[in-house]
Amino acid sequence: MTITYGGDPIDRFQRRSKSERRKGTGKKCQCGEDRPLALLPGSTPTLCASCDRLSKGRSPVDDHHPAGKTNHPTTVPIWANDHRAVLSDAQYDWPNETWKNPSGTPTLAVAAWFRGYLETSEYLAGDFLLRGVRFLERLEPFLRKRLGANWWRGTELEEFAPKRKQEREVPHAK
Amino acid sequence: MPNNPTPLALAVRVFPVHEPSNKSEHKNKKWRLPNAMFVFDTETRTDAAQRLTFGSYRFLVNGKLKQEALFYANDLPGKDRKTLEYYVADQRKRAQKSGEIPLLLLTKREFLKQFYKAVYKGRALLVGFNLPFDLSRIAFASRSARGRFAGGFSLAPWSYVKNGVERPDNHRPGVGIKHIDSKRALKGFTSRYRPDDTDLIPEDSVTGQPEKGYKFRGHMLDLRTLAFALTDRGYSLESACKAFGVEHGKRHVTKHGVVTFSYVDYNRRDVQATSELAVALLAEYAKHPINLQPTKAYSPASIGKAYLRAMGIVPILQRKPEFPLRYVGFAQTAFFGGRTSAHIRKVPVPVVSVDFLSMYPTVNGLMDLWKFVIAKEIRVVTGCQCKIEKFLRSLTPQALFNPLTWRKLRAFVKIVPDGDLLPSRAKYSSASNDFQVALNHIYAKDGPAADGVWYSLPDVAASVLLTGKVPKIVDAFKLVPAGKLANLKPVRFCGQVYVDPRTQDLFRTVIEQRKSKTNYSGMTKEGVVRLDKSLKVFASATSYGIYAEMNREESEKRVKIQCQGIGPEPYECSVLHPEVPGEFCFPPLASLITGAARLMLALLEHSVAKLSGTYAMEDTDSMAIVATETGGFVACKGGNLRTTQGKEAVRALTWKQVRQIVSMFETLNPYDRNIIPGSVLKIEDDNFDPKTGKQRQLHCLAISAKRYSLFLKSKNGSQVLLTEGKNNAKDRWSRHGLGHLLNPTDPEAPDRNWTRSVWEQIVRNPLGLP
Repeated sequence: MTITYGGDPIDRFQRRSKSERRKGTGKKCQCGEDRPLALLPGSTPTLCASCDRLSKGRSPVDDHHPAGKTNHPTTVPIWANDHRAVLSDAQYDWPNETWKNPSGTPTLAVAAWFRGYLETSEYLAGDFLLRGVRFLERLEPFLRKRLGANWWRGTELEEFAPKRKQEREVPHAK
Repeated sequence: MPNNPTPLALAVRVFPVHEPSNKSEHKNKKWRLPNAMFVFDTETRTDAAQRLTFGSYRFLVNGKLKQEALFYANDLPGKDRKTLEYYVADQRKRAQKSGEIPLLLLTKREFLKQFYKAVYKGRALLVGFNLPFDLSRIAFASRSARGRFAGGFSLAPWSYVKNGVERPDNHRPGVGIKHIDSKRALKGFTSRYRPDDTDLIPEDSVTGQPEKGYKFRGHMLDLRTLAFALTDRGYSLESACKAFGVEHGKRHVTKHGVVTFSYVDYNRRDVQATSELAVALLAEYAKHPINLQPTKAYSPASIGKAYLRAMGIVPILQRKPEFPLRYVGFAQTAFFGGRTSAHIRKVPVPVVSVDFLSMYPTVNGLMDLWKFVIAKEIRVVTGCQCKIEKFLRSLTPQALFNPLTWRKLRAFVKIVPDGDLLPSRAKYSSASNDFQVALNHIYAKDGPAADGVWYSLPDVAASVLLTGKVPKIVDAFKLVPAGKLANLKPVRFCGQVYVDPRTQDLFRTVIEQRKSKTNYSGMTKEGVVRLDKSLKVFASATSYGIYAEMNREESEKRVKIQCQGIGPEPYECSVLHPEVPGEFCFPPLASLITGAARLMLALLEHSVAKLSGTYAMEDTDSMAIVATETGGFVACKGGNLRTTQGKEAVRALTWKQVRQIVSMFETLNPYDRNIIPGSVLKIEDDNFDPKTGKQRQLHCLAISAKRYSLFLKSKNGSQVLLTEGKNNAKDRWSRHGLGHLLNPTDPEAPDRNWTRSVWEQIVRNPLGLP
């Protein structure tokens, strides 16, 4: 999953290329995680941030500052791997002035809130909604195979079935 | 011996002894094509200095355009800068409506920052057409390169300003460029001061750990080089776009060097065409199942060698490092290139032009040399001079028309020449004072046998054929292949043609597959043309050159190297530019192949001479035989016959006699006759009118080796050069030795059509035309 709202594509490419290189070819965590930004460089065996936390008895969840620490203290709990590979990565694409907001200007702070909201909601939409979509689309053929073509008829789920126009009889042609 | 033979020192090539390199191991490493491309092009002033005015780049990730920008030189006049600003503002307005990527306008410094991030830090593919030129335009300074690029340039694109003085930035890499020839150059980043840890991680690193001393050289793809490697043809951006079916090809602009909207459009279009051409060429390249970075495909031979590696073929000297190098040295001294001459000089004569079908693969096939390429080992059989002498004594032209005779030619002999007709390398002209190769009657100095010289047996056979005399042989050895390499595996050439090195002779198979229609079923017309060209290029690349490959190395001072030459022991010498044998270099094969090709031409010469005929010129695999439809005497200054008017003349064969000679070579066809029937000697298409298909009278004027023109004569006796698209399938005047010259009437014009006018004039003079 990649979230981008502007930013220099060359910077983004450079960042990813470097992290890919640091990862080493073909490496992944035992949990299957292979996104370079989620893996800990130089770890042997290769570990992702979440597994690393779990192995140390710590929470695998990070507190993400959607608007950046300097712009708003609100945090959202995010799975550490996603925090590193998706949301923090997206913040690198922000204009530096907005992210760091060194002068503390309210306009850039508000811009950062909006950016943070957009990115976090896109992340959640991707994580929750898209995952749900994928689940349903895979469930359908499974149910059809198990219960037949009209598996929902006569069940409580029938009320969710789309209503169709009744087929009308076609008059015979003269 | 004649009364006064000219004493000349002969020069021979020697084999430089080097430790076997582990280059093949490096080449077996997998390489992934970067998913991002940085494509750029520059425009310059039109004066001699050609300083940068502006340029543009496109940055693409996974084939999608992510950024496009114009950049301009620091010293671009304000008026021109304004033009660029207006252009960009205009484009951005349009982009807002159309959803295009908005164009950026950057200074050269800002551009170099993007370039650095994308190409060096991010390791994107840097793409350009004639990349060295564009790289030199964005450089701030240059100097002579050292080390890997010694003999070339080291460019410094990045600079910094201190106390008002601009200096090269040592914290950024330089760009090293060393030209191999007009189409190819070695390119790469040079080292920089204090590289970051991520810059020290090798491309194929499994650990992701930095390695001290590693230098990232960059992924620099010059499309001119890649197009040449794929087709063995030189292209301009325009012709390459046409040849590879690029949708948005090159456009033209009325005036170069002046910054206008249309000139910026032209530049952006060039970058777009270049990026589309890159996609097309990389797609074409991906059809080859080989493990070779496209950035390192410098020539068809590079691709050919990668195929051999893919088939599991290990270079001969690597598979058996203890192979006695003295025999390699002997064979190297016997090495000469193709036989080429102007036999009738500066006198136009009527001819029939003939050439051999794929000469080098053909002689490879006849001598069955593929067995050496896949042999587990190659054995040297010594002390066979008596057998070879006996073979030569029984050698007749008829025997040479028997293909089995050619398998007995896989040997080298040391002879003491006494008027034998052999190739020799000497300073024939005191004016030019350089070494040239010529076919001459050679006499050894009186005295001990130390004057013996090594020749390939085909060369000696040619001498026997043309002089009727067997030379004095003092030593000889022959080569015998034994066993087969263990890990040979089949490949599908271009993903299309199946070749199994274990059971098929690659040299023969590739030529047969070219002619076979079965491979082309279901393919588009362009696909057929491309596959055919690829096969042709592959056949010529792997059938000779790679066994003779020597790479010149640059060094700042003389170095001592060991060489194997005529003598059995190596000797040491000190040279400034040592040569290093190429990966598949094996001089015994190279010498046998070119020797056999010369023998083939000698056999043709003998066949012509037997009918009292002669020829105007010969070049490696072709000959212009003096012939007319009815034959007879042709006036020719210097000829040894006389016309009825008493003029010096030569005898022209009849067209029928030429056809008879052609049919004699049918026995030497080593290919599957169902696919390639008939003779390996062909009457060239030039001899036939493209409209009627009837044979027409060609004339030839040769002025020196490789410099000749074929032409027709009009009714009023004036010359009509054979010209592509006009009266022939291709131009038939030589451009040899003219490549370095600009158009004398318009030095800016890129086309080479002016060479035609030069030849028109050259031909008119001897014809007595004004």
